[in-house]
Amino acid sequence: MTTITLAVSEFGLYAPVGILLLMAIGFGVANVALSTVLGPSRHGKVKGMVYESGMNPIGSAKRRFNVRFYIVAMTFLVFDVEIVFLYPWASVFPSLAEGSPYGVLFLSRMLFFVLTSIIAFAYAWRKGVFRYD
Amino acid sequence: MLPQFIVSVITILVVIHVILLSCSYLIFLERKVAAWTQDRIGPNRTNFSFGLLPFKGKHFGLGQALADGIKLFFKEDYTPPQVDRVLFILAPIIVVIPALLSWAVIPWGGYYLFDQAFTVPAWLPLLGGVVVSPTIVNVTAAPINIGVVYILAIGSTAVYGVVVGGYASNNKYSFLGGLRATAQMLSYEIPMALCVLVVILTSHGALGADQFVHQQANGVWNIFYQPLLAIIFFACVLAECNRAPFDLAEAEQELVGGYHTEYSSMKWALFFLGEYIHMITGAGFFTLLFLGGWDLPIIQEPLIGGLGLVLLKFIVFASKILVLLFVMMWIRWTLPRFRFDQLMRLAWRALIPLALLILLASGFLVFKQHAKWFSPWLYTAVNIGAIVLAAVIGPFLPQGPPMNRKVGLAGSRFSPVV
Repeated sequence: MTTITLAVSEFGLYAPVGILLLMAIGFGVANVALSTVLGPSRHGKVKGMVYESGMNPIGSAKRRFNVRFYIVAMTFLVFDVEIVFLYPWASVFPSLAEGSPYGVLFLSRMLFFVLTSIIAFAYAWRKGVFRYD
Repeated sequence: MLPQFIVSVITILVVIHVILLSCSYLIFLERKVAAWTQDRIGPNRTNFSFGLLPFKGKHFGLGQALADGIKLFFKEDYTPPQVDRVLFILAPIIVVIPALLSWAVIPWGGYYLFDQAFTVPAWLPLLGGVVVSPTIVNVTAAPINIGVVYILAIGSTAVYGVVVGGYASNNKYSFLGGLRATAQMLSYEIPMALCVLVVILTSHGALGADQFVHQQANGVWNIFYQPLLAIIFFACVLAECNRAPFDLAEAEQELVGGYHTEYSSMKWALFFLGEYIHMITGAGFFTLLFLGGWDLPIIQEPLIGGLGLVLLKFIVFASKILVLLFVMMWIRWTLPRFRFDQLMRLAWRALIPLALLILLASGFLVFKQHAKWFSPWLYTAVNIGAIVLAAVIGPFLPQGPPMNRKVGLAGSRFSPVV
């Protein structure tokens, strides 16, 4: 089976996702549009103010934020990419035949791969990345 | 291919209506459960006449959900002048799209057997006159062979809507809510993906959603093999949907409404709709991985059958989801909310190491699965061992500086004047 015939035969399975995507976009747009059309529209100086529990707003909301959110994003990237690489492994590894010479190889490769990220995890822990105080 | 496509489209049309209708009634159910938990009555007045039609009676308040929906359409859809207009309008749409997409691979009704060849009626456009030979089809919107990866992938795009909504509002509450929601959803995605990874390993490398049901149908459900993993996964589902006790992003006492503070009318409702559809999908995902999908315990149901069997399987699947949704609501109205540092610590210091531990142990057991002493119940032993290990070595792990130490004010009740 060439790549193109495979793509054509798989397309039939993915086509409903496309239909669903169109329906979802249509649903979202229709709801937003309908409520804009149906509802009343009144404006006012105080009504347009930023809501800060009734106080006069101080400064803009687009300000610097704590760096720990950035660190969370970075550690997330490390682990998520690692897990993505583990999925094909998890799908192939259990179906290795009994007594297959690749069994030990597959297991030790995964162990090494996870070990590197465990070291990274321990390092991050020691560095205080997971301290949210 | 064609019968599969037809069944897929029919499934989409049926399930999308079931999900959207049940969302409005889930909000009603949530209010009823809250009332039951807090010993109140809850909504019980609104009937189906809405004061316009000649119906009498209260109908148990069932009209409330529809009345709320109609009301939201006629509310003012206000866009404050200080917001980023394009992103502000786009955000609710971005929230609702992944929510409506992610249930596509859930196998609602098992398989349907076209046992006789039939011809599509000639009056139908495009397909008229096509002959369909006998075949077996999946009663799923999209029976793709990487179902769980699809759910995880689409589910993780749900972050974008929240971030965009929080950032575009140009409001400090919204901004903080958006930041918190992002950090929380990113953190809990990792243990969730690890849990799915372990279940793939122990289900002989299955990736398609229906294969997980095969593994468990007429056998033992995964929740008995992996009890701790199921708990971790359920906690992650709660956190991914921003549900209590992990609803930090919209903590009313701290952040007013969180990322949807500045939203009103149907735009606001789309955020809630997204949350409730995510709850349904999350419960469906949990049912699929741990509760055996459409499998009924004890009864040996046939794998392939006609319309009646499909309907029965759909009802079984839906009732399992309903039970899980009830548990989610029960948790919401019983447990207090986490603090933000507790939330992040739970993810990074507890759930991820535990899930990694179970992954490594399960990987080793799968490696030895042909050995004589192997039995699937060893996975249960691994899970119980992980609980014991966590309880034993947890206190010895490196801690951060003590949090919220009681301030030793002289004369306060924590350090009385001596």
